[in-house]
Amino acid sequence: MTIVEGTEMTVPPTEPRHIALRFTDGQVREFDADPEEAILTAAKRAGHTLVSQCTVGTCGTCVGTLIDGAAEMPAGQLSALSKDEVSAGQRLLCQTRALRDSSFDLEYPSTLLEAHPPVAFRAKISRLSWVADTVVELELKVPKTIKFGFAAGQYCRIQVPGTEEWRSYSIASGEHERFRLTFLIRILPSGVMSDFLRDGARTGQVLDLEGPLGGFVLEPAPRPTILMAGGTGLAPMLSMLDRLRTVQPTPPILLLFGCNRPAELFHEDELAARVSFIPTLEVRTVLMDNEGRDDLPAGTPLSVLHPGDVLPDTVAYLCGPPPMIRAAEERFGELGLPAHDIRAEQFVPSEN
Amino acid sequence: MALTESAIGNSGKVARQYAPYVQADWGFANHWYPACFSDEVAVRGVVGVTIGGHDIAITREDDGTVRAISDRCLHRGVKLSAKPMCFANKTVTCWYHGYTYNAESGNLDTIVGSPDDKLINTVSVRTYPAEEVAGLIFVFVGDDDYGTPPPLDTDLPVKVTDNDDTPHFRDAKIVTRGLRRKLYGNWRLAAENGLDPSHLLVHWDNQIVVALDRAMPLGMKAMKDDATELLDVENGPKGVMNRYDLPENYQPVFENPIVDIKARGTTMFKPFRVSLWLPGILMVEDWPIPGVTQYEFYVPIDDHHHMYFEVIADHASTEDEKKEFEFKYKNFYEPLGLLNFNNNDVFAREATEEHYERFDGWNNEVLADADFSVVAWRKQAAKHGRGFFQSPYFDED
Repeated sequence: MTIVEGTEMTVPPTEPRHIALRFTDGQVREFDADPEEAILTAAKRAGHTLVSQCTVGTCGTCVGTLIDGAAEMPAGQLSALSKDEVSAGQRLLCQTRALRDSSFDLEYPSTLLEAHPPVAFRAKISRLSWVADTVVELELKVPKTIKFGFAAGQYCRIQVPGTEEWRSYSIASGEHERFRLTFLIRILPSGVMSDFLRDGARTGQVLDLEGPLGGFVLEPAPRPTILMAGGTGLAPMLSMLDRLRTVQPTPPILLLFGCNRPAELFHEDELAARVSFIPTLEVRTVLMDNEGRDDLPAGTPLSVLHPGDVLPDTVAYLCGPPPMIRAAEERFGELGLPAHDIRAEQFVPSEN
Repeated sequence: MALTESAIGNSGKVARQYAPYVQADWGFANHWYPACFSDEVAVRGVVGVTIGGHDIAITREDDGTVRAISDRCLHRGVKLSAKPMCFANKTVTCWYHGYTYNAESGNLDTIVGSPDDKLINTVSVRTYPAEEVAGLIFVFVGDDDYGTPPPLDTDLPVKVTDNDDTPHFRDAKIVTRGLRRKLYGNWRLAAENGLDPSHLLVHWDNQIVVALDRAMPLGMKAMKDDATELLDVENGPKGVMNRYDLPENYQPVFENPIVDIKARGTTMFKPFRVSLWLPGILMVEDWPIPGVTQYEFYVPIDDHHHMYFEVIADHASTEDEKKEFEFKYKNFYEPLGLLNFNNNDVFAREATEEHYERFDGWNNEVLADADFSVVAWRKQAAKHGRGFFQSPYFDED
């Protein structure tokens, strides 16, 4: 496998390039892409709707790794990838053009493409409760006529009523609860969704949604699992726990959960309950500032990870703010986990 | 006088401890459930049942093999079982337009009046694993992509004590007779009622108790915190058991002077044992009389109905012993046990359903000490349920 440097043309500039995408379940999808066509667009034209969100190169959802051939993203554009990531072969498929026949690795199973195609739908607010000073739990009721299903870890986009703004939130409820979706939403001092939930939202109100989206999903085969969540990054972990619980045999699961301070801590009782009915689950809760809760350690989720927690076949799932993800990826790497066994879903902070 | 938050209690905090059980309105998916009795399905017969929202047709091949396929014709969705039609071995034909399915694969083998139709051999209906044991037909019902089902024995009660010779499903000499009826009420209310040591009051005036002059306690007082034993057979079934036969676990309560009530009966009987197993099976050993076992299955149909199986099991090897069992079943076990006695349980469940359905009963109960075994069962079920059925219907929101 070689990554060809530079832009030597072995294919005439007008000839279509042959593209192969390899998924984590070993499945391969092949199609042709025109020279000026983004891989994502070409894939869609061939009937393969890949995981993606913004389609303009800023979110990083559609990332793939070039393993053979040559493919480039336009220069001088703001990109969600760092220089190091690009030189390691990572490409945003919504921006990438192939210079010749190329192959990419994607970080999710091919089944994700067929299992639950995203749908646009409307759902009613059935419950809105404040579970901490800065966290709202939002429950929506999906009509039975909507063919909606999702894989634990995926998210939905929700439109803020009365605006053109959409926000993305991971689904916290389990896969089997297709008609009742729960989201955990961090409330900021100001922001269109925060303002709406604080001041305008009421039970019975109808919201516009799109989903499910995202490739942050569980491996099909049970392996020792570490879930690391910062704040409302707990949402996809709750859904994943619900799925892992029924896997036979249930693998050992370690959940590391961190919040800023006691007033922002939530779902302690929910997690304690899960420990009681998931025998293989261990939960470690930690507060950045634990004043008033000295029964909990002070620090970050990463600071309560011990080297012995990471086994050779461990898989880690991370969800939270970018600094937490970066530090955790580095640490898990040091502890011997290969990059493809460290799955992450970053919060993308919204502008407003 | 402490008041609860509402007049009907607020148990949401407790309910969180066994949340998966509270979510199992439609029952636990990916388990073996009894569909019907063996003698209900003749060769080339079709019997339709609904389990956790799955409509399933049970049929029998010429060699006796039992098969289970989806009971909805692909064509226009009618139930195949509405008018059983099997023209050839190992097929089920839809009575409406003649779509004919292979009973093993579910494949559309032919269409009676349109044998050259292009649809033939391109579509199929879902099939379900089926097995027969001790006069019952079991099917494995759940997610289409579950993979290889665990053995049927992981969902059948087993003998866990060694102090008598009560009948169990895998015994070589087992004989069974029973009946099934569709009832109003969530499957969980049915299951919990049978295990509950304090529900015996509903039976204090039953014919079988009076006729046998049997000392039927008003309740069973637990003598220790863990009087309800957890059953966790490795690679086997899971459940909980109340050993009323161990005086160190339970003491019978025969009277309550405060309301001037005394249990009737002067005959002290051998105490029975009650156990409740996933996915919803009650085993009552030494009931209605010593040496006999009564099994009850609470099979979810939808979130407000269950199929109630009542089965009496005994041992019989010779023809005479089998005839004697038949006679006793017809003239004693069925009329006095399965009907008169259990009808009080049926009355209780149907009366309970309204509160759970319309007032969110799972989060609004006021439980007492005597409910420890119900809570132990809920936790055990929450731990070991393999998944969830959910409503397949589009017409309800």
